[in-house]
Amino acid sequence: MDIQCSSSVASTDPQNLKHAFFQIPSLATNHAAWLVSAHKIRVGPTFFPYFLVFFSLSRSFPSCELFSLVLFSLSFSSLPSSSRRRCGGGDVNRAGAEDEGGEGEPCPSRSGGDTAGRDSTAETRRRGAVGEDELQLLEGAQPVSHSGCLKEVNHYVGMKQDPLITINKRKHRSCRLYWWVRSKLGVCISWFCCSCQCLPKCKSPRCFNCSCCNDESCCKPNCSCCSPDCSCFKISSCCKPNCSPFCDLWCCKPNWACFNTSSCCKSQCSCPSPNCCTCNLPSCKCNPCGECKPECSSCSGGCCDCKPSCSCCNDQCCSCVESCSCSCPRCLGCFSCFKFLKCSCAGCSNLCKCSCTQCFNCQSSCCKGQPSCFKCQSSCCDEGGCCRSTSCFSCPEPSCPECSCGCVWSCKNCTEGCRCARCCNPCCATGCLC
Amino acid sequence: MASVADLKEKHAAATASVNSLRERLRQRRQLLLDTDVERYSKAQGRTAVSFNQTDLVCCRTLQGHSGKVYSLDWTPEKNWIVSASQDGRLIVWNALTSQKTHAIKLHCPWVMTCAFAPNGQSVACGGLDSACSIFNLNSQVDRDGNMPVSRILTGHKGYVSSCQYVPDQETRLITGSGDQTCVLWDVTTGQRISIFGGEFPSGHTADVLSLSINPLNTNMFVSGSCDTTVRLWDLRIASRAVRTYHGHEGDINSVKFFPDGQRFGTGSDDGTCRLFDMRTGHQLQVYNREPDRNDNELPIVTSIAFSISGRLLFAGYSNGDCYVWDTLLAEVVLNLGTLQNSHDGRISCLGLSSDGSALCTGSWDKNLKIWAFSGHRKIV
Repeated sequence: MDIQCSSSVASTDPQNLKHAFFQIPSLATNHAAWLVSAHKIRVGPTFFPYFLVFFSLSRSFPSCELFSLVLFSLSFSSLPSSSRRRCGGGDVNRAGAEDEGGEGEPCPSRSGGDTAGRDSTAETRRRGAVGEDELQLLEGAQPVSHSGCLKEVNHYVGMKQDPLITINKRKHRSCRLYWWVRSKLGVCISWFCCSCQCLPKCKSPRCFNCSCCNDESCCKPNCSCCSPDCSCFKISSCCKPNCSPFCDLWCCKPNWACFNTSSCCKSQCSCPSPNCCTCNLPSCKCNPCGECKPECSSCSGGCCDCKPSCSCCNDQCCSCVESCSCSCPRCLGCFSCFKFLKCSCAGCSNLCKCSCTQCFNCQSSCCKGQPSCFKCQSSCCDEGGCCRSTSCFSCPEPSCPECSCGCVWSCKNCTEGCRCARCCNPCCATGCLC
Repeated sequence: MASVADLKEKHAAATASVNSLRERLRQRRQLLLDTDVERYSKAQGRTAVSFNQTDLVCCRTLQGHSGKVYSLDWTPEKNWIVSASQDGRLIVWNALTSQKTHAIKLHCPWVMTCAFAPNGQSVACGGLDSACSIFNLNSQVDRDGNMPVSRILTGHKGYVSSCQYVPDQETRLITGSGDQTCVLWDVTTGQRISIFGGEFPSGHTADVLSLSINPLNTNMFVSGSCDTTVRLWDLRIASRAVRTYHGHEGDINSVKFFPDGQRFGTGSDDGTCRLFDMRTGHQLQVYNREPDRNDNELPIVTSIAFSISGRLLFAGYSNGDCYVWDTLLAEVVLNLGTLQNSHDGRISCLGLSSDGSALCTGSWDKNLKIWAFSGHRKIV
């Protein structure tokens, strides 16, 4: 990318840097580059994702100047001065530079190999800085028991009536005594736990005799206790590298190298060509809606994304099957229902027809004469009006009969819900009695 | 110019420093978790919610999709649902009557998320096309019976995994993406108003899979990611996440705010649901299911929702279970997956109606089901 320098920035002030403006002529259009913030730089419509940015110049413009903007991470927040330098041809002129002593720097390589390594380190340091901030935040934090959150949750939950929870419930006042006794005992003795209907079901009773296991999740069926540091007992999908021999190595995720995101790396996930699979789905299939990378010469079965090699797949009707033959798929239901749904593929001689079986989109052309066509539904009326007989009217405010409150869904005849003004419960506006 | 060896050494040192810091952070967080909601509630004498087998039933089955259902959303007012499926269609249902009011064929069939606008007149969807498409339900269909798209929001560099309209604002929408960012959009102009994450230091470091806007303070939202963290964002300040929440050990597939707007729940690949406090960052409760007797891998949590009182947490799992958790006592009080007429496949999405009277679940068995209380309720 060749750069013509149109202005220079001789200040370390980020605010001034923000107003710097650079012209970067490209092949097609002139892209403008400017410093949007202290943390990123934007060229044209594209954001450079890294903090280290060099602009290098072609040797064919020996008089061009090099702008080097070196941006460090937020934690360091030091923006060294940008300077106008010449490069290319070995003649380095540091006119306009502010404060650096020492020799001029050579023009950076266009390959960017070293740049990637520096970016990775900068990224790691950035994360470290964010972590330091969080550690400071945690140092001053109160434990959960003192934060008041638990009391708030308990208080809030009791305030609102829940339509999904039965409201007529016998409360076992005697349960309070059992709860108190159990809390004082500190352990759950199976006969005591399970005999009273007030108490929750005993979980993993086999662990009650296992005195070394304080945490139920540590108890394996044979009641052997595991090292508290071995977190893989809870989650079998990933083993920590320092996990004790109790953990199976098979649970570690394979093939980390191919993918950028951990969601792609399931045990059965493999891509024939790393460039073809974008790894956007957990099942790691090729991205059918995207474009095939130029390096992708073949896609695994079913991947119509690779258009250059699978030319017939230019329509949803066609599917790339082995040798890229096209076939008409099964016709789906007639949703729009005013004409036959056709499928046609290049090379397919048969047109796929289907009949109008269900008409719900109310238009004048909708299934004329067909018994399944409802001419007037509420959805046909403009501005959310209501349908009565064959005409649309403005919808009256539904009233909520008191005795039908709560039986919206259990009543098959209910076609419109409302909220009872008095009790605020969901009701059936059509007066469905339960 | 530093040599490659020097850079490697520096990188290794930086990595070791970060790992040590992470461990210190983990230990510090663990020290702060001296109790949880369950222990507190039991000490207060709370008893678990009890359900009979016929209390919550499947009262409607919405059939019509020919592919796996991936996402659903309720309208804020009417009992309408929009669902998105692998068959490349959005269907809008009247949940009470089970009728389909709209069927929208999508340009890109690989849709992952859908959402209803607050006024119920528009729907949004997104997926592997890395864009969010908006459809006006009042539009006239074209000659082929297809509904035209009103607006396409482009700009993400990865798939759109989640989207939600800002409540009471038809013109603003937030999307979460596989490019590790969330974006606030102006739907009328199609422009990005703010980008959350990306180059900024406190952004997610892996795909964003889910998001939830605070119902009581719509300037705040949380996003869940494959980097196992949840981040809290302020719509007015895109440059930095307000807070990061740690605890999960796998991808976070679902986040939902608790009804009080001060807490939020999460569901993850690690098989657990968790409740976090927004202000303090504390992990208040872990909802950990019993390991399978056959010692199979724990099913992952695909989606969660809270009842309007907050007492119930609904969690859909990859094995077809739909647990109803008592949030205070951390107990499973019902498994909708074992009831009559339950789904035959993975629960991929679920959501509660705006009045809290019904739960809708979507599944890879191509159906949606409505669950509601079937017992007689008499208001005294």
